Amino acid sequence: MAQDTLDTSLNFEFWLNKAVAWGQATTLESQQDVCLHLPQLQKFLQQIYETLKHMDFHTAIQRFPLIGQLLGRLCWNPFVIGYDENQKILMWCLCCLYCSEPWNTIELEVNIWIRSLLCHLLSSSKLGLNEVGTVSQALGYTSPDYYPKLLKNMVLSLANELRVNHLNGFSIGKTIPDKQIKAMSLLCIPLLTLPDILPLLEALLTYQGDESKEILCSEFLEGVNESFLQKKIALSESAVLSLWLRHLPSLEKATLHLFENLISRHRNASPEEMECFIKDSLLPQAACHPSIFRIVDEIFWNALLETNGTSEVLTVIQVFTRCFVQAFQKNNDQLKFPLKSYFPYTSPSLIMVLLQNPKDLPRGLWCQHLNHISEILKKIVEDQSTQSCRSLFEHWFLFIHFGEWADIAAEELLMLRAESPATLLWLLAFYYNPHDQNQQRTQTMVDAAEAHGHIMKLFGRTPLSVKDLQDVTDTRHPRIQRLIRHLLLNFLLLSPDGYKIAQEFIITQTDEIASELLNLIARITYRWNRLGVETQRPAKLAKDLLQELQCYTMKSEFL
Amino acid sequence: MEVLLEQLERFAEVLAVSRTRHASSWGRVAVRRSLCWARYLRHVHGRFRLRGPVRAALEGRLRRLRLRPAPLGGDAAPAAPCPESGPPLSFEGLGCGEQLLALGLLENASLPSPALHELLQRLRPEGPAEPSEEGLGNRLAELARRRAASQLLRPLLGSGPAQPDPVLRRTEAELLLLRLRQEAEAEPGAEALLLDRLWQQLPQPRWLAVVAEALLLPPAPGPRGAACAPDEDDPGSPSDLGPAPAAPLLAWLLSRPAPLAALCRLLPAPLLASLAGRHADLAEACLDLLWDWAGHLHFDLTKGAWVGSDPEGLTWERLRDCFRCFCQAPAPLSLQARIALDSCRARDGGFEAPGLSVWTDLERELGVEEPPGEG
Repeated sequence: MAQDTLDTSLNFEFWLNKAVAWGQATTLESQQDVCLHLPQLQKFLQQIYETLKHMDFHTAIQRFPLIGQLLGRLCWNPFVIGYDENQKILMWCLCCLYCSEPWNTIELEVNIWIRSLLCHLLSSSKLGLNEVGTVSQALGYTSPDYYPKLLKNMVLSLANELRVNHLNGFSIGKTIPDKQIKAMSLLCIPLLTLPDILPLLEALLTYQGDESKEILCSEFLEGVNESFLQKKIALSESAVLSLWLRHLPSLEKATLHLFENLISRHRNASPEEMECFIKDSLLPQAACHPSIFRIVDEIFWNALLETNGTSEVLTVIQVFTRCFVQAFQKNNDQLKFPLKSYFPYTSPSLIMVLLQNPKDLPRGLWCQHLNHISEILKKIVEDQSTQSCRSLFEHWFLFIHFGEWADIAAEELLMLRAESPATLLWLLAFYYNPHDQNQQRTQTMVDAAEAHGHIMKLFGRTPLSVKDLQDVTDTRHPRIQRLIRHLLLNFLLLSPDGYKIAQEFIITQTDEIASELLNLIARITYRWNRLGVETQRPAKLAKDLLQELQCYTMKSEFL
Repeated sequence: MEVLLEQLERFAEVLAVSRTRHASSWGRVAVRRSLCWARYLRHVHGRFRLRGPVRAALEGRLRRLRLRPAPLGGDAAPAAPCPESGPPLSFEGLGCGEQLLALGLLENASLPSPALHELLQRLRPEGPAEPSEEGLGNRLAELARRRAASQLLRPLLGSGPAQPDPVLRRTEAELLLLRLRQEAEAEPGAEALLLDRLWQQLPQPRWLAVVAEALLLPPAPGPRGAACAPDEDDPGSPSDLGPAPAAPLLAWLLSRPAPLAALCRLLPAPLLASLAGRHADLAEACLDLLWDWAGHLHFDLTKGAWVGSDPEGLTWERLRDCFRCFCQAPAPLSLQARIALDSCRARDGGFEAPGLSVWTDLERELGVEEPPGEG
């Protein structure tokens, strides 16, 4: 507590000095400085109010002798008043200080001063502008009628000027110099979350100057991005696209924000919920622009490396790609970029074959398609001329985007529909172990085939025990554990005997593995729902299993 | 219902009094009660704002209130709205009644401290307010924020103190049309009275600029269907004013020679041409007026130019500028203007030589020799 009071006192002096230096924020430097400090100022004012609200005038004056100066100066600074909630907090502070029954001259004068300050904040009659309000006053209107209209007309006029300016720039010559546009963006910074300003924000964001360097000030762009990410303003898609195209840090921040939402804050989000978050973020739509796509992809790539390719990240990339493809295909009216611009370092035939939506293929042809994918990938991987590490990982990364096919491969392997399981196994092995060299890969294939065979034998075995399952996943084949778990999980969901002991088995696993398996189940049910697969019963069972396991893990976390 | 109407009356009185020195007798209780009424009437407004019988009844009562002499004791206030006490309360005004009341009390220097203190406490979140009252402080804060925003953006609009500010002009025009509509709803014929009063009260150039702007405002975007609810945040937006919001204004202008003459004489010629292009009645009236005035011009041989007998009246230059702009305007105005020129010239005798008919010279000056439709 003592620390708090000390902080506030020190800060008081700091902010009073600032307020004096800013004046009415008429110079560019003072304006920029105010904009930099606005969020902290608001926090400080909130602290002041928290202290003031228990006090009357006398106590307040003893605690903060210069409070009058501070409040007075801040009230005359339109940048301060225009920002977020500052005006509300300042009003509250003034209301606190008002004396209900003034006993002496000082209190009377304080009251008069407070009243005039409040009038200054709220009423039009003391605007000091040239003749403003003569007609409005004659009509009998006051501030509540006047200001919303005035502001709306100002915003429309400015937005219009910007649009015309842009068009004129080519022929007649601009009426607004670039410097003024920069000033405009600076002036909008305190006002970002005011809904009336939205048309002007959009006009600024979509404004293209002649020069290649950015005319809008970066604090403006950052501020807009931040407000958008916190859902405080509702920008149109094209405005957001313009923002991200012209300001790289904003795009990066937006992507990381999405990632954080999906991975940390909403850990247990199902892929359906993830889809909602992702679409809301407007990133898939923006990613139809290849330069944006590449930046977002880069961030995904880094996340993958940092987390060693955990299942959660793979799921995020998969769902994001699905949303992206949807947005891309919907984008009929606008310029469509060739697919190669999104994945420039990969083979176009691979892109085409991976892009195929399983929904559009009859189920019987899935295996054939998977074989096709496998062939192409194998050829690329084993081709000596493309055997650069970078190229290998690019192709693997591309495959990850469309990881649904790997999931389908696992399922098909379990359903024994494949003519040549080896091809599908190769695909799955590549999915989990892309970095195998030739000899290792041969060994991997042998191990994988063995494991697959072992699992297939489980179908006939009754009664099935957890030990049987553990036998499969023992550390005989350490390098393909994830592949084995994937196949095993499919078994558990598709076989009635396996389903009975699924929960029992999963809770014996480590936390890390358990969450990996949960993630897989979520992905599988998501796919089944989307593709309208006729495995009705397994789908429902899987969903129930998932719910029960999630409850269980939450309980155990709590304990 | 009767109770509601009575409360409406009480509140209207209260609102009027809040801005006058009679508020000096108010105490805490009075403030509390008036805010209570304001809040209650705001809810009423919210419930009945789509047109219906209740709304009509409320509007009817408000109308009758205006015609009654205000009960202000010694100073018998006239039935016409007194600027000092704000506009007469309209149904829409009930929507922001609390704010109007609060602002009125705040700006009123004669309000005693305890009363103002009561008001101010209710603006704070911890004030002795019932939960439903919370909105007032927030709404006032929003107002302050908008005011600051307009102050911030004003320098960007680029007009200096000498130049008239088009955005202000436009806002005032919208407010004018809104007020006209409110007056028309209250009582037919009241708009004309209002416009007469404003014509007397305001400086001419200002007034004319606003009128011109109001007449040029774009019309409503589409037909006003029953499903189209009035815009609550912006009651004066063009879509809410109906298909021909400026009709009463135009009617007034055409029926009052003095303002019309001032319009023709003082408004910048291109602006006058836009107005005439938009409203055919106005075009006709202007052309008639110009013809009438031109009759007062005579040719001065010593100066070699047309001059007017009245120094305040129409000059040759003005006549020429007006007609030039009219002729350059899109059809049908340009056509109308040329036909007028031709017929006037013919009426004068159809001379070719300069100095004989003002119309001949005018046509020559403007380069309009051939009548339209011929070779």
